[in-house]
Amino acid sequence: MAMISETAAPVGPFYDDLHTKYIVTLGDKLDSPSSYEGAVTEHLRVSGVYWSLAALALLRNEDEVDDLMGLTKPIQAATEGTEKNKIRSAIVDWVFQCFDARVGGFGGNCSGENPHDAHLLYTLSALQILAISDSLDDERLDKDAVANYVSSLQNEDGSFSGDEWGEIDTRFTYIAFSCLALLKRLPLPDWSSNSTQVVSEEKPIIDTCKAVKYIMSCRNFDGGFGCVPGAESHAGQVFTCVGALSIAQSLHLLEDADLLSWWLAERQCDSGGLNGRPEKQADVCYSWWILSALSILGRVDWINTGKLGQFILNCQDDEDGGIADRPMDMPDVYHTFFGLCGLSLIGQLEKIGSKEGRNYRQIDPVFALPTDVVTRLGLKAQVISNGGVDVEKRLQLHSILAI
Amino acid sequence: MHGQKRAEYKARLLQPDTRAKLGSKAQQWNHLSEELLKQRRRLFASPPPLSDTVTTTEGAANGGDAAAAAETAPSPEVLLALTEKMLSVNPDPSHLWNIRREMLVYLIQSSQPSAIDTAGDNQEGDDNNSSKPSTLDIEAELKLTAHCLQRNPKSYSAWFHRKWALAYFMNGTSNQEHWANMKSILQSELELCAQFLQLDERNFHCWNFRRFVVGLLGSCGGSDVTTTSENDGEVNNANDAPSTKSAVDNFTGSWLAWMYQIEDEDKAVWMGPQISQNACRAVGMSTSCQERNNRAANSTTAPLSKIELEKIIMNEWDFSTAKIQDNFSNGSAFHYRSKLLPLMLEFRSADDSPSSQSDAYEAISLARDEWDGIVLDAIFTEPDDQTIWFYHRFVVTWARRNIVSVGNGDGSDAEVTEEFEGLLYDMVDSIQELIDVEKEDSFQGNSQDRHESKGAKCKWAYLGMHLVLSTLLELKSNDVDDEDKTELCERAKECLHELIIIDPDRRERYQILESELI
Repeated sequence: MAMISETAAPVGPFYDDLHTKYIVTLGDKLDSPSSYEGAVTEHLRVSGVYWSLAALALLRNEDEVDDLMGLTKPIQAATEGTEKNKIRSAIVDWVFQCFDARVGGFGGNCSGENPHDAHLLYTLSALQILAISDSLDDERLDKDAVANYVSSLQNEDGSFSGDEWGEIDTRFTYIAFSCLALLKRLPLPDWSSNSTQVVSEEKPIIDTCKAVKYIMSCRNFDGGFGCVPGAESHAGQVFTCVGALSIAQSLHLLEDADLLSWWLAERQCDSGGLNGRPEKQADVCYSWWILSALSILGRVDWINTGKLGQFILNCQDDEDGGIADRPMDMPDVYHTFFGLCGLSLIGQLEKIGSKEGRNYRQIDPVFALPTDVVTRLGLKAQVISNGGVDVEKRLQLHSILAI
Repeated sequence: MHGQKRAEYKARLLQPDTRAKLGSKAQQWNHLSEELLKQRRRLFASPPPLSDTVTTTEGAANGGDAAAAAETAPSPEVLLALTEKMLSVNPDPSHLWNIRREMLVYLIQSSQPSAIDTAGDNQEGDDNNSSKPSTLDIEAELKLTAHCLQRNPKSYSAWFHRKWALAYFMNGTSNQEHWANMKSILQSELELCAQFLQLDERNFHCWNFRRFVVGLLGSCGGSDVTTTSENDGEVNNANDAPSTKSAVDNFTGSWLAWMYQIEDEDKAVWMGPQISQNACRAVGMSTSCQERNNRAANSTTAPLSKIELEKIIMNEWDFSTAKIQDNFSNGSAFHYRSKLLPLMLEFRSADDSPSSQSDAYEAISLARDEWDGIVLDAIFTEPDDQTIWFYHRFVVTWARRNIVSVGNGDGSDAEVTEEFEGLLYDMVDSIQELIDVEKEDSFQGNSQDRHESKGAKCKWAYLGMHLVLSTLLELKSNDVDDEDKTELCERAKECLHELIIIDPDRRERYQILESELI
């Protein structure tokens, strides 16, 4: 079987400098009171900051990221305009301002003193930012409160709501697992007794077993997963479901990993890019949703990684940096991050880095964090070794299920 | 920016007019955003006095203080208006919808008579207002979300609010007139779904919403209305039918609440809840039939009859048929059909003489209907669309599963297998015909105008052929006739060899499949 390390490098330049500048200047651009884009995306700023940081973290080391982004210390605004000498508070400090103490979760932003309503989406992004900046042990983080917030959102059938208003979606199961894993509070299932492990006589904070069974109830005729039982398969949901199974060390429940992997592999279009469902257009972000799932399933080589790499490079903005959803479209930081993740998961980012004379980092397919962060935190998920083949080095920090 | 052409977008931003306009919109938004959160915080710090419709003695006593307090405390109505203004421009922020829901619930709950008044003893205020708590203005919420969805048909938050509003409004239904109104609203919602799907037939938010509406419709119950006894308010037994495990299930969009008549282990996967029970309870939606009945003056609904249940499902089945006939590439419609097909089997299963053998024949018959009625047309019209072939695969494997349980040992399983094999051989013939036609076509030159997701010509036909041949091989695994098996095996291998040539990107998989054939 072709190993990803053997794939030919894609043709064409990689705009390291431009992408870095794009990411670093984005914050100030969006923060400007006259930024329309900033206004209409203010509600998800915490996620936007996570995508920016994690993207930059692949291209630069810890200290460089801190200096460039003002992660743990205040920074001078870097852009044009009237606010040239403005000092922006450290990102980590701002993240804590987004904490909604009323329920124990994080909102997507804050307006003055008021954090936006907490939601699981932003709670995970907040924790991921803290993880990257090595601030999970900051005394301002009330780990119990956050863990209890996550716990309060689990429903009787094992599913999770996004917030107290009750929208149910398998995305939120992945998020719940990931949050608790980052907080070191995730109880694992004990499949020999078909229940969630009990630690020191306390009731488990969530019923992981039930949550996993709920995920399996979302399985469809094509092997894929949807957002709720009965919903159509979608590559994004497939990642969240497979990712959740991975974090919960429960991949053995996937009876037909072949069928699912094949469905994922069939997302590759003539352009080399991947789509999210049959008969849809290719989009760079699926480079992440699908490659991460295939990495966990041990079948990255079921797609043509060379063609995918080429597609991703073709989506770069060669004027101002950033990566777009498809060639010649306007970039955004979401697609920039996931494009870089895609390049990383097919083993191309490292090669590109060497050409640039840089030591690019690798992304972990389960937690969507740089692998050194995952190692530092001691996070451990599960990946499949298909047919007992040796698992790629980056995945060896996880436990391996040989099937 | 997702889906925006770079050159055009940048050029637009360079124009000073556009920049100025966008800049001022941004400032307006930011100002409103901060104002809204500030006001909401103040509101919860000092809630406004209860409205005039409350008739407790405390309410009456507070009348004087109310006027003074109203001046300084922000009003829920103002906050509602603010959220409407902002959401009309940008429907994505979920916290804005949260605030809206908070205000709606607050206004309704604060207009409810207190528990004491239900018995009718303490009416000191106006008789006109006392017994009518205000209900949700559903039309307003439907109008706002419809406007938002026209701007962004893929907004999770807007779709969720529409579901929430319908559920909350439905919870407020208490008499026969209301139920008829509710059903009529839900029928209109199905219409809305149809319209949205005309614009984008793959919008999964809309498909999920449709299933949610069906969930609510089923929960409205049957037309056979029962009434409570006038004498002592005793509730008719039908209201406590085992169908409704918990009344709050009726608002979640799940199909479980009213699918009690279907004996299928896979019930849960038809359509799960889209709003959590906990969230329903948190805003006061009924937790038991008894509670609802206490609020209802004199009537409630009976469970769905089997005929009514079938009617609802058949409507969905027919809808999926119509969407597929509009466009054979409609993966969302096929997905829905894959959930409904097992239900069709349930409906066709003989009640009086259920046997796994008759079920097996019904399954094969259904599979044949799908093949003859839908798949055959589809594959000849759109031979390179994977959607149809994934569905074909499902129909074959589903039928296969339904006959495997037949094993009476009296020779009957052989007949069932033969029937199924007959269908499979028909498939082999038709797929071969398709391959021959397609190959001939390619010599005359293909059109270059192919969607990027199509892949190589005939690829899916070969995959379909391989599947059918493999299934036949499986069925014959205990047969003595080696010649037949050898031929099938050779033919299956040929398919894989073709696939390796025309679809080299996925050759790893084809090689694995070949190794499984030996």
